[in-house]
Amino acid sequence: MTIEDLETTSRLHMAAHELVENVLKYGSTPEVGLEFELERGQDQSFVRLRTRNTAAPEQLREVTRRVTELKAAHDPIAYYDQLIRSTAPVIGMSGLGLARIRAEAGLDVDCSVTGREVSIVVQATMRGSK
Amino acid sequence: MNAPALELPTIEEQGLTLGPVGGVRGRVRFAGTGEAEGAAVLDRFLGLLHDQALAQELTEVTIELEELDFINSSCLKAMVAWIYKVDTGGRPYKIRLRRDASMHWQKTSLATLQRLAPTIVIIEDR
Repeated sequence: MTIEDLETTSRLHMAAHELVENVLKYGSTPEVGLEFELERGQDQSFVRLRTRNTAAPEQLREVTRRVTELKAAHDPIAYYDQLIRSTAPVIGMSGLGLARIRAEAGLDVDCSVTGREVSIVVQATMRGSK
Repeated sequence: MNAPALELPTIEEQGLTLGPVGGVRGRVRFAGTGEAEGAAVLDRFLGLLHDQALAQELTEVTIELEELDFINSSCLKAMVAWIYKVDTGGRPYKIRLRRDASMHWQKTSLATLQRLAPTIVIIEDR
């Protein structure tokens, strides 16, 4: 399987940048992971980017809250726009990365927490197996 | 007689090149890639641009983005903060963003900036 579609490549590129920044920003130890996975299906295939890092308990709660909100949003772009408006006057941390992945890159975002480790998974669904 | 170009420095830091376009009033060019460390650089440059635009009473500022390969959300936030400041500060000037629409991120991210302040942000394809 090849990712020949430039737009899909660009969307994954955006997601990878945002995920890596999150790991560097919020990771509390040097032990981090970034995985790229292709899953071929008969009619569709999946590309997944997965990061993992340990983080402080408040960061774990915060990322869980954000991803839960993001997944519950019926309109990811409206959610993203609202997040941008509400954070525009706030100096410093953007907190836009995961919402950008969902709204601009159009990718699914999920997370899981085990102990002090958080894993964030971003998935693109592609038609066809080639 | 042409008005003088914006008195802005050209900044080359953290993978970004930000600077005035010689001889063209109110026009600047961004190039490179903006990661997390670039946000402060971009924020500083946009502050200078805003001050100069007010000082010269410009009605429009143009940013050439065609050579900007990518910015992450921290840098995007710097642009959001600037646009928000212009939009809520009496809208003294419009902001024209010249993009390369073949870059997917420019299509989506500049559209996001336009939705934030549709009356002042203009998107122009090269």
